[in-house]
Amino acid sequence: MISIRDLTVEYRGGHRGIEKVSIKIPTDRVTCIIGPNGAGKSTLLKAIAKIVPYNGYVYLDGLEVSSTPLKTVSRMVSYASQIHSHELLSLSVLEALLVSRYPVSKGFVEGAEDYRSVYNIAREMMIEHLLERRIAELSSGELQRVIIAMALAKDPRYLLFDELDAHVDVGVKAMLSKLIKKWSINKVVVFTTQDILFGVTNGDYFILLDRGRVVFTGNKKDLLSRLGIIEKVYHVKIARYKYSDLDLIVPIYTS
Amino acid sequence: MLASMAARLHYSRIALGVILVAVLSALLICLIYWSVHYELPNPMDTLIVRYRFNRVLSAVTAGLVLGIAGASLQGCLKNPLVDHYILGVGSGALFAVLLSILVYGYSLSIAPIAAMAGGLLALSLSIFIAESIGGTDASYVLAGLGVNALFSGLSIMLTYMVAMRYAFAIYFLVGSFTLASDKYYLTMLVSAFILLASYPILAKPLNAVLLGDEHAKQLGYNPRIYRFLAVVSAGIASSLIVSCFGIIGFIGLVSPHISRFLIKSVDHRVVIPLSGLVGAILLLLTDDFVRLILSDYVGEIPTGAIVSIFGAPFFLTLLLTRFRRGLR
Repeated sequence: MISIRDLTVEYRGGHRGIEKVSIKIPTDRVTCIIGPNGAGKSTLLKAIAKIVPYNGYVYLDGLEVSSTPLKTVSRMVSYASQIHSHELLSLSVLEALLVSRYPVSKGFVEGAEDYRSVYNIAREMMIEHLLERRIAELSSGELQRVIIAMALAKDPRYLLFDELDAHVDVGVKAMLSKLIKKWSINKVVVFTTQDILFGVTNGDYFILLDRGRVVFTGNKKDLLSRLGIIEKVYHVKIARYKYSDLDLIVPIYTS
Repeated sequence: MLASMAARLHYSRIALGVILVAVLSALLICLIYWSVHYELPNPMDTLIVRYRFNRVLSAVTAGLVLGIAGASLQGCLKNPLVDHYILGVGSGALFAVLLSILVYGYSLSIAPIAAMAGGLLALSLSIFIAESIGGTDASYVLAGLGVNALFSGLSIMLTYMVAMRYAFAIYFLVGSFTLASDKYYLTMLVSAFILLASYPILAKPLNAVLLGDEHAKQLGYNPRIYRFLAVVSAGIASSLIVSCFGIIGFIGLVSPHISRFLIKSVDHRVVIPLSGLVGAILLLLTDDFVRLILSDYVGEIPTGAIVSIFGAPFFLTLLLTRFRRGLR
């Protein structure tokens, strides 16, 4: 269980990314965090992963994150976000995956277990052919798959994906949908997305944020019955469709 | 199958790194022997041998320190165009050394302490300003540029004042091994020790920092702490070298690039030691060129100046080649 109480994250200059947020994120369901740009989705995940300092309380398996050593948190949580790599100082994909195992690998140089693990993940994410390429050379879609693989590399209990489906094509989104279900069997998956169709399709539990505050938490059925909240937050009309046994929601863009 | 291939490939790269370190070490030892014994008029002339040995050892240690410091700085700041000079450490140390000479006269015990104080003062200013404007990679470089400009100006001014009493002070501005002597051994040893001791602590975290601050944190490394450690160890070590031989700017910039080019990797576990060896070899070769060849025609030109003359075109060629080959 991820338990959050009175969480406030204040950035330099006094801007509050998150303000007085109190929520519980279940561990037996896939949690999707949605909200418009600047709502505080990334900030919430960063606070859970101890990447930004905060006021309030964040509990991971009973451990309060701010008073838990970064090393310990790093073994429990992966936070996957964008990478900006310098062309002349860019690791190869294989090196980046091995570096991503540092919290769990032993010794100064990697062992056979690290390579086995990294390859299995590369195969799962279909990036074996990219292993020798440099990160700075990859397309944004390829890079996104590598970032996801890097999050998986240390085999954490909590997988926090910031914009999980950013830059990837619909084929990869379909692949991610299957993988989310697979990961959720023995891991806690929390992801943010700007694609509400992708989010509603793959999430079981939803947190809707707006300007740093929580405006909705609940399961899919609750969310679908209160589409007006999403429409109000995004300022866009939302249509609901039924396809086979799937409930789909689609934003309507009109000129 | 592919897993073992990937592992083999990666291991072969590490093995290549180890082989390169071994080969360059052997080359360096041969070069040291050759540099000391080249056209020795009388092999029993211990005075000449001792002078040459001191000078060769000074160039090697300075190259080693500046090469390692450059690799650490470029890695921790994720900026391939910085060295200790950019952060203002070199000019801060030089300013303090010149100030100490002006006040107390030249003293072997005061100059290194003044250099560390000046280097750390400049460094603290750079870090304070950089952290105040966000603590990002770019903040460090911008803050360093401003601090460097300040201390460079002050150093040039003090050089004119000091040079009236101590003519050798002019060498400090460009960097020279002409006055190399065994009296600098302790300072050189401390300088090299600081960097060699920090290597096992910094090598892996610096690899994580290359992925960005957020990624480094979620891998358990606080980037600010490791960036600070890398900058401080490189700053103190290069300040000590400045207190002995003046500012030698280009080695710290070019050695990490040559190392990454040789190993085709940016892994700091290999790049840092390789960069130290490359720096040592480059600086020794340059000093040999100055001492053995150039001095016959134009006299003793400071090694620091020749390093830049030869290093800059080489560095630019290297950059162009790397870009044309797809940055490898």
